[in-house]
Amino acid sequence: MIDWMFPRGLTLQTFVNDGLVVVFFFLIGLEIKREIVVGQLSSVKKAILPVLAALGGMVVPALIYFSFNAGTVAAPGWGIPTATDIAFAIGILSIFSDRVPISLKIFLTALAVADDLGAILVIALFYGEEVNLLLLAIAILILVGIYFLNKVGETRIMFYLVPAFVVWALFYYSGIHSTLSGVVIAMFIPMKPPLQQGVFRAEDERFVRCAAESRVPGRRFSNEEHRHYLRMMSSLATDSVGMSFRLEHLLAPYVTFLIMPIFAFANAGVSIDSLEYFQSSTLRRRPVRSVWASSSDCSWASRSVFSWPVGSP
Amino acid sequence: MYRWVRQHYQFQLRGRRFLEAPWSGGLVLLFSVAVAMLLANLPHGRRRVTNGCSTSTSLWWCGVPAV
Repeated sequence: MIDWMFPRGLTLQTFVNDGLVVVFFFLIGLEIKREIVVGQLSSVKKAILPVLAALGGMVVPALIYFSFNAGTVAAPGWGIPTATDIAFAIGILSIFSDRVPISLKIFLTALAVADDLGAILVIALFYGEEVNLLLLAIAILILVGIYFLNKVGETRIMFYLVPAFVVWALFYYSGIHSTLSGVVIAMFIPMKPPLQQGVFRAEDERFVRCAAESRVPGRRFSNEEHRHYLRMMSSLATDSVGMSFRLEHLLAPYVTFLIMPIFAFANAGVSIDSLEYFQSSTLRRRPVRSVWASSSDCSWASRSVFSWPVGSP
Repeated sequence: MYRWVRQHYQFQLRGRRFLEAPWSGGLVLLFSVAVAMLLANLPHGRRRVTNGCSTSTSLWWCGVPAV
């Protein structure tokens, strides 16, 4: 049954990379949407720069990789250096919180997202398993449904989260990396608050006045009427903020302090021994100093400070 | 007693300040990466990390064992 439910196997790493990280991508999608609608990426002129930078960040590493590995068995791996790990990039950026201008942060976040999504598309198009188009079509249909729910002004969260879960599952089973679903769904979450600003202001003033009047002076605890108005104010405040902002605020601490550390534990455990591969295969065949010597024709290059291991050819 | 309550309150306050600081997420991530790298390169840790990450999980709440 597990095999049927999780065709790629359900290991802890799969659970983290195909499940938990989707929440992170969802949050990043919400942030990018906010910037597209009301922020620093609101015009094509502003948005084009990070997209072009991301494109450069994908094409140039792939070309460098290909120039070194053309004609070898490793040549089809050109897609590997195209990816930038957005999670780590944004995490590192957040350490320099006050020293980095906000525009640079947004630029780098947009760049990292565009780059990461581009890399996911490269993997899906060139390396992926066979994509199940039927499941993908159903996912797109559901997304169209979510779009129309947004257009008609539906603001109940369950009407978005339940289809979002179904879309995630459909992306997972269709063979496309499921993290893509997180970003796509985020784009359809409504930003518009249920209450207009004028209504909020009028209601807020009324509740503040009623709450002040209902409070009995000198009493330590508030009475039921006072508590009722406080509840109404709380619900009013919730309704005056769009679902996108609320979800962003709700998810951010869980993503930062739970999902990201788990993701790091599951993926960053790189054994340094793996560097032996470079010493044993690639660099032994093409030692830097021999390349240097052949290109510059200098005998002193053989005494270069680049002390890469030189073995038998 | 008063001292204990005060210390406890200050500890909570410091924790909250750390969680709300914009750099705290990056620091926690870096710490996690450092621990993961350390574990992966320790003789016993490496095996545990590899085994841990590739452990088949099961839907234990349904009583379905993993294959």
